[in-house]
Amino acid sequence: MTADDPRAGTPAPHPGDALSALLDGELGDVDAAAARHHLAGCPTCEAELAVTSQARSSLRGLPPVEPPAGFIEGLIAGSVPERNAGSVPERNAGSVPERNAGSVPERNAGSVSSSSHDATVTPIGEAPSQRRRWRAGVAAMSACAAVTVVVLGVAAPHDPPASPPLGRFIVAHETEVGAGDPVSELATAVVPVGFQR
Amino acid sequence: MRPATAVCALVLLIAVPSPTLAADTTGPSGGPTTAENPFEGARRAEERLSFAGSVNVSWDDAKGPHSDQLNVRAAGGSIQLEGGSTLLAGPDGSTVARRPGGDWDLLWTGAPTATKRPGVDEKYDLIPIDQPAPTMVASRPTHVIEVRQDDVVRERLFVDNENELLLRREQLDLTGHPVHVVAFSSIDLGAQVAAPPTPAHPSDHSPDHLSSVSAPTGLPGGYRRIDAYREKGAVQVLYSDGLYDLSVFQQQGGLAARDVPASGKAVRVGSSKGWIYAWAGGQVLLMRRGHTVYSLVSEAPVDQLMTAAKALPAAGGSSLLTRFRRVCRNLVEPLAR
Repeated sequence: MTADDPRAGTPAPHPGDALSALLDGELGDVDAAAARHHLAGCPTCEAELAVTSQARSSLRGLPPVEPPAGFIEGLIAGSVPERNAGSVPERNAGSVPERNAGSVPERNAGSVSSSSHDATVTPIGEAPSQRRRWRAGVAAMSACAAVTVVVLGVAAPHDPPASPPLGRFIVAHETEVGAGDPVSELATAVVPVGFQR
Repeated sequence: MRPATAVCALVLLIAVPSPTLAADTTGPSGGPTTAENPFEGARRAEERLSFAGSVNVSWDDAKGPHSDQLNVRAAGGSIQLEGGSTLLAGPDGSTVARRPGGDWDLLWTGAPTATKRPGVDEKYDLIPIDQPAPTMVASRPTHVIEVRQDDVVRERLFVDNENELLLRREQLDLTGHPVHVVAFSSIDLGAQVAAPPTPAHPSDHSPDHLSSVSAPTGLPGGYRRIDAYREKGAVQVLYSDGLYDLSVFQQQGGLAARDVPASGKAVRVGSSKGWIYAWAGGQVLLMRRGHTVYSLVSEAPVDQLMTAAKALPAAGGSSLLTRFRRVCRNLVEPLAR
């Protein structure tokens, strides 16, 4: 890919997502060289690369998230017994039965005939809890998908303003003497531009 | 009339066309009555002559007519113009500008463009206009050359009969009304004019040359890409049709309300909205297309500018992946601040 396109009126295609790959060093030598060549003459892609690089650096520069005090302990206390009740019965013997005592026995009275508190973690007794989590997970994923669709479809991201310096552009254009003679071409360059914002 | 006399008269009529006939014989297929490129003659004259004078610049915009007066002096191939600012064009083609503090900035090195400009006669006809008497400009007799595109008179040039200096240059709109005029109001030829001082070490503010660029190699209306530069945050792609230069400045981003001066005339460029502004030398067309902001600067007439602008590409696709990446970036960017 080259920035110049021999076909008159047709600019070369932009690298697009290859810019991210270029940043990550995932492009081959040829593709990377072609992308850099294109970048040298394409302000659009150059800006895209700069913003992508900045976003990438920002992500990597974010501080690690510290969980609230007791979060991990609570997580372990709430989940481990159900998964590993058979292996760590001593540690959770006092907590799990209380948590499920009110619900499981009534709904699964026929199956929970064992005298042991391990009855609360039998497959039959675990099913409602798993279904609830499954439903919650599906609902959460659906909500995320809906939010993504709304953000992508409705809230179109805005570009940062380019703020073109028109006065400076005019001077840059006029001080390059073109096809005409210097007096008639440069005379207008010393006249102040009157439409500045 | 005897046959021999009649034949002689006919031959004379054909061989020695009257000025009126010459003026009327126009157009690409109408006959080769075109003049030599008057701009080349003017450039040569400005290089070899010494002169001092006043130049009046007038132009029209949405607010009405404007004019400004500036002083010009030339000697030794250098030309200095003093108005709201001061410019000095050197014999090497470079251009420097004096800052308010007195220091000089190099704005243009004079390096030739990567691709030669098209010939002015590829698109335009240069037609000498017959006049019963020379038109006086700054008390000097001139002859008039019209620059025509098809049958439309784009410019009227008043050339000094003695030395080829271009004393008056008018650009006309499609109704024939002059909209941009640069004209000597006085000129003192052969005066004891000191050569403008050449700044020793101006600060280099000239644009960086780009060897390659992602931009069309041509634009409608006969504009060919002749070079490209990097101009402080923008890419300047320079086009020419042989008479007018057209600079297309490209920037990535959007247009905020404060970026659009209020004095512009709103126009529709294809599916994009744009604004046109007039300044002393030409027009600026500002528009956003896709994720690119274009600022087109040119001396070319507005209709040519609009035609060229329609062909500019909308860079930056809006694929789902691209939009998703932009969303993610927009979510992350506030965290980085």
